[in-house]
Amino acid sequence: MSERPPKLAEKILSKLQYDDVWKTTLGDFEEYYTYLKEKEGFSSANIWYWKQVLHYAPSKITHKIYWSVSMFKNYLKISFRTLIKQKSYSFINIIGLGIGLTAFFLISLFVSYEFNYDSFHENGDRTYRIIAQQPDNEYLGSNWYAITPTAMAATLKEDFPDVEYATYFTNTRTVLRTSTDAFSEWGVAADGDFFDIFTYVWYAGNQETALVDPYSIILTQSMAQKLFGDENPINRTIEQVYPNGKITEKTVTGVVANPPENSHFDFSFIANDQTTPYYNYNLNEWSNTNVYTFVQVRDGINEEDFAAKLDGFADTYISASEYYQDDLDALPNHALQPLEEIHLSSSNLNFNPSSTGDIKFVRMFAIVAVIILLIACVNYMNLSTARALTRGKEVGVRKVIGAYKSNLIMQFLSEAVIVSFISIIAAILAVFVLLPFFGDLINRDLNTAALMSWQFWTFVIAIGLVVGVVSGSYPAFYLSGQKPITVLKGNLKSGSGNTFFRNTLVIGQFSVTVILLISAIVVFEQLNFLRTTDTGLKREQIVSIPNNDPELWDRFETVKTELIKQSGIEMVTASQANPIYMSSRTSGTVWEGQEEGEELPIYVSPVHFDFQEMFGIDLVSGTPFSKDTFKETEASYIVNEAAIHELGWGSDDAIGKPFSVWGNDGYIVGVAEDFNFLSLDQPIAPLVLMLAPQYDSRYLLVKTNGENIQETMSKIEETLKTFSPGYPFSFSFLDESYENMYRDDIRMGELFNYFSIFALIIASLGLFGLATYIAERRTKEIGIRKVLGANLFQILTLLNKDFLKLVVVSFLIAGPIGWYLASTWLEDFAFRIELGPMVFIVAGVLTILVALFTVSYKSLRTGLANPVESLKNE
Amino acid sequence: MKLLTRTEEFILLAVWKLQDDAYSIPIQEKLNEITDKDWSLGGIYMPLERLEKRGYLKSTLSESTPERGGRHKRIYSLTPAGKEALRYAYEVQQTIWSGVPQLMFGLG
Repeated sequence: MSERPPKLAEKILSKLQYDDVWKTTLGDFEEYYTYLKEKEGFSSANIWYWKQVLHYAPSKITHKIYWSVSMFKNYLKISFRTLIKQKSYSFINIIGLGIGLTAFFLISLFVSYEFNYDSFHENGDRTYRIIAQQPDNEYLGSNWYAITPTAMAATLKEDFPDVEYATYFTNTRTVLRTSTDAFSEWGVAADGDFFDIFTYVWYAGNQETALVDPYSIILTQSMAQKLFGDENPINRTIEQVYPNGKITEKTVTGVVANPPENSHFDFSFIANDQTTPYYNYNLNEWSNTNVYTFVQVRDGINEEDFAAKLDGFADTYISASEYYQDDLDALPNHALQPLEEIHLSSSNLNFNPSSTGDIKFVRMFAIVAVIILLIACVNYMNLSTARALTRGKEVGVRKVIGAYKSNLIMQFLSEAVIVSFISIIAAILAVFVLLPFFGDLINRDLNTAALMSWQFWTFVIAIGLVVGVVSGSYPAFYLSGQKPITVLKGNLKSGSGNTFFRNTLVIGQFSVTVILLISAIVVFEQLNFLRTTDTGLKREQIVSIPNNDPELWDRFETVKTELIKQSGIEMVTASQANPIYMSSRTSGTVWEGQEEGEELPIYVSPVHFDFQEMFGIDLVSGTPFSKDTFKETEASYIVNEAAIHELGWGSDDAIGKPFSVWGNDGYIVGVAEDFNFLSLDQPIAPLVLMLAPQYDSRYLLVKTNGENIQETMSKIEETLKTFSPGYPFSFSFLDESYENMYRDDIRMGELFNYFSIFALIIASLGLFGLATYIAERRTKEIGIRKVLGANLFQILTLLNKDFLKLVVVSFLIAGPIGWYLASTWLEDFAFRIELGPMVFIVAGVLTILVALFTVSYKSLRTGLANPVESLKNE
Repeated sequence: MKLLTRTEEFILLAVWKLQDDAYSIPIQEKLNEITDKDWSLGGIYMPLERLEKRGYLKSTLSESTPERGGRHKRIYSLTPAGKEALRYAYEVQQTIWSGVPQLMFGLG
């Protein structure tokens, strides 16, 4: 049996208070405990001891809380007094932290939005898309595809008990029309358990049965509004006109809310895929790879186990299909992609249903956010430690009166936390104002509703504490560590070790800022280069008018003659592919001298006469497509230099050689100079422009003379209405469309610029604070120097050179790092700017100028002051 | 001069009598002995503290003993003011008791 009182009870009692009186009291307790134990036994002694705990704990604890609160009140009071007394420092700290926090919160909201795509689907956490790697088939730089065979969904559900629901869908643009109106709309053609997997809000109709009938169609609320106004759309019939001209009558069986913005695919309607008129295949095919396949596994099924079961399951089906060419290496590999990760993990997949997010950008911005916040925290550290002297007396007095080091640390930490929360209030207000603009800038549906969630406020408070503690930690330990006797004697220098630390922080801040600036300039230059570089395709003044009406294309020559008659129209042609992004590729080519099994993957674009002339594509040899030599029975081809290079032909030999794409035999009539027909992150690949009459076009292309555009457009619209009634009219200017291709990149680039400028501003604010402080401390010195004959220039040099040294050192550190990062980033682009010295000169000069300007403002005032003012106070 | 309470008077007397050994536990024992009642430790800390604050007692830390878990004792001793207060209390006592008929004790 132990001689001592119960351990826990003793521990509690000893924690209640720390002073000597209490220690002797505990001694008394123990002595009495020993006495009681001998007299009345162990248990009653224990009971007595515990009673003391119950007796003393409540009052001591209240006591403790009472004093912490009153100490905290005192800290608050002192903090506010300090803040008010030193308005300019407080201002610099709060503005710096405020800007930093604003940037940080904005970016955090963006990052959180990016990570929350498709999170609104009820069972999204056990829903996967099947994606495929086709080892032999690299397209646009990747052999991974978002699309899979139409037969896959049903097979998965049949073969795997783990699969609860399966569906597939395609995402296409078709025309929806009533007797009065026609609209060209993006929609979904789905089969299987679409609505069991994807969760939408239903306004009308029954989710279980809406898609059962092959001729049913479900509209979004805004689509229903467009077609029927305020009338009830249920059971109304509409016509759906497919890209191949087929028309199907559909009955509206449901209305759902517009899909949320944070959805990886968008639609105006959902139709049953059974009635989609395909060109040449049927639905239960493994060779028909053009749909997105989704499965929802049963509750409790582990992703990895399921993925392991799926491994190779499609091999037998695919190798049995008639299109399969007996090449085991060519069999696709399939993988699972969790629904909620699709948005950020699909940028390397071909054929995404809409533009995806980019995890690289998200990461980059997250890093930038943290960097900006750190720069702002460092400002606080630097300014507080630099000003240790003014607080030194207070620290000394507190210590003499009996403050422990821990009390002082608490005090300075609370001060930092108070400053951080004041900045947070400012930052939140700024975020409220800026969020809609920021949302526009990054093209995301960010609105202030996101600010109302408890998660956001928890995050804000956590960040407030973290920022306070991080920025307050060094000042707290530094200030509380001073010896009271030295401070009170007034001997505290802004110690040299301290100066070194501060200089290191400033160098850190500016190095990071310069790296950001270099990166921002490079990104900006590169994106600008992409936008303005000559791709070899003249897009100016060309209007592109998409139209799916087969009858229009049947009568295209007449339409062309009709249009060309109009004033303002210079040239008319048509093409099947989007002329600024000819992404259709085939291996179905035959050429002279082809060896057995040899293939030439080539991009192909069926076009009309005058296409090559309209876009100013220069020919190296041969002639343009010409009506005089063209025969209805054979195709004419213009190939690019990359193609003949691949085939090993000279540009003159190529002319007149037989060539065939998709089984259209014909001859090469010309060789075109290489031009960019995809985006500029792709190198120029073999391309063939094909003139063959049996291919319907999709885009009517009209070159205007650039005058009276509105009048010209209304004439074109009138003409098309007569030739193609019942089809909507829309158009775009190709130069604008081209810029839109880079819109996302350019947006990100712009944002990056803004945030680098933020970083520079915050770092400069810190420098400004330091400069102000140093100038103040050296007022007397400057006064004496002036009296002794120093001129303004000498004084400025004296005050500025220390800071400039720091900035120059930062630049020397940041330059190589910036160069490395920038060149790594540029490697991803097939066409890129040269990384010349200009970028570094601009970043360096900009930083030095800004630093010089901020520092000089204060130095100049000190230098210009009448020395009498500074010296008379002795 | 403010008159001492009974408890205070007892405690001061106990401290005086105990001399060098006047710390909480012996004080408590002494009080138990004098009054034939159980005094709680808590019950004597408050008056001790009060008396010290008023300047009637002073305290010093002394060596510790094993049964105290190595902790110091707080030894109390009377200050001149303390002695004066006791003397005054005694006088008042004398005065107020003088002239009470002898008979009363006979009844008890």
